Amino acid sequence: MTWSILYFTILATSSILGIVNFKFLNNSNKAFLLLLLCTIFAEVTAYIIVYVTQKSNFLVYHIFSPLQCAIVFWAYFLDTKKPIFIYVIPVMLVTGLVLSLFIQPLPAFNSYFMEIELLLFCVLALNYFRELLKIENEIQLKDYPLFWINSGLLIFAVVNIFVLGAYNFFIKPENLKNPLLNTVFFYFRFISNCLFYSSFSVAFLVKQNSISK
Amino acid sequence: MGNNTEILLTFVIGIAIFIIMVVFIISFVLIFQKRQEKHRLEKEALKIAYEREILKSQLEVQNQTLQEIAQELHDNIGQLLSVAKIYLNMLEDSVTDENDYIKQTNEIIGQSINDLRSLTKSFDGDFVQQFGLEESISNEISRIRKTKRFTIDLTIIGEKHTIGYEREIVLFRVIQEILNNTIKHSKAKNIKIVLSYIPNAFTLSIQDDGQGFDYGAIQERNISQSGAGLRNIQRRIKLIEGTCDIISEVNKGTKTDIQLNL
Repeated sequence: MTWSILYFTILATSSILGIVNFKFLNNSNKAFLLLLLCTIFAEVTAYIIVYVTQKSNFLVYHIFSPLQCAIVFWAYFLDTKKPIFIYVIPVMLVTGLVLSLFIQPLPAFNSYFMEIELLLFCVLALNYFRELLKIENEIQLKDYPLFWINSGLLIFAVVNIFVLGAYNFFIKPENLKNPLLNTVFFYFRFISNCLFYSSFSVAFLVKQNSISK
Repeated sequence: MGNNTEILLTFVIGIAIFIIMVVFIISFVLIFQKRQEKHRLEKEALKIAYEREILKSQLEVQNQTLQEIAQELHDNIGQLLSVAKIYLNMLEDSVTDENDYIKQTNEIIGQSINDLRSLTKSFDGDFVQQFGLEESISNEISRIRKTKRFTIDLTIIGEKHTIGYEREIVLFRVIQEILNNTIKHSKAKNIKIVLSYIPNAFTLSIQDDGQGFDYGAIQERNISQSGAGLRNIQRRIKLIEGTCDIISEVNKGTKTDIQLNL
């Protein structure tokens, strides 16, 4: 419960900062603010489903994950103006739909889609770092808001790939219900999520430069 | 593998991933800053090279213009004055001039011809090339001495060695600019010029005992106000890869030190 409060506080703080500075945000950050609001909505819904109705909340993630992927790619497109990011969106939405309907339908957790999504996030983040190195101006790195979100996204993606990968493929079945292991996984995911969503706060506060300018 | 070993391994790998990510991001920041610094230095070097080219062109144009003026003075005005002097000489021999007006006019024209020659040398960059920096400065000093308003000394220390024609002509123009400033603004009585030829370097010092000025205040003036002359001196010396220090205080005169490394 305490960790949930901390997590929601970070989400709320970042959202409030985004809303307060909305007029000054660049288009990419406006998209990330939308992602933040969608995340809050999805997490609150998932929380209510589990703690109030005592049912599985996987449905929320079947819907939220493709949406999250679409918004992240859209935001990167707005910053970098690379059309390929726009083309990825329908592909990922269709992939999410196919996986959720035929490969991993409810009540299963959509881990396949998440693995693909997280891998793409890693590629996206590394590509953005590469693009940053190509820039030839005197703008400081801290003044690129997407640098902060990108760093958070890379940590989030790599850690979650590790957690999901270990959970799905490496941990022995008899260990999967071990509370200690679940605690370890929980903290890894919790810390990476907190870092990712905290990076939004920084991004909403710094100068709003983008690499396509 | 035991239960706890698997959990411990997961924990250790997870922590390692976090550490690798943090190290990666910090390394990226450092690489980015290094590249940005390199880019900034390259840009600065390009800007300096561009400014040098502009200044070089300006100097070339100035030299060419002065040379044309010098040629025109020498070939046209000088010739006319010489012809006038010949006529006056003839007139002096054939006409009785009780008040010596013709003689006096003849002397004035003679003086004008000398001044004109001196001015021609001063304008002509080739003079510096042909006779060297010292001779050109001496010629400039002679011109100033003729005004009889200043006591001007030239001291040469060390064994003379060439500093290159391009540098000599730029240096000569700078000396002219400094002396011109001294004559116009300093209200000085004495001017000292010291040329020092030291191994691998050349220094020039011009000192006057005039009213001086607040150098800091002049440096802070904007472009529309005066101070352009001093900036020009600094820029020209920078162009020939030298250093220029101007030391001045109100009522304590002015000293300009120029150093060129060879």
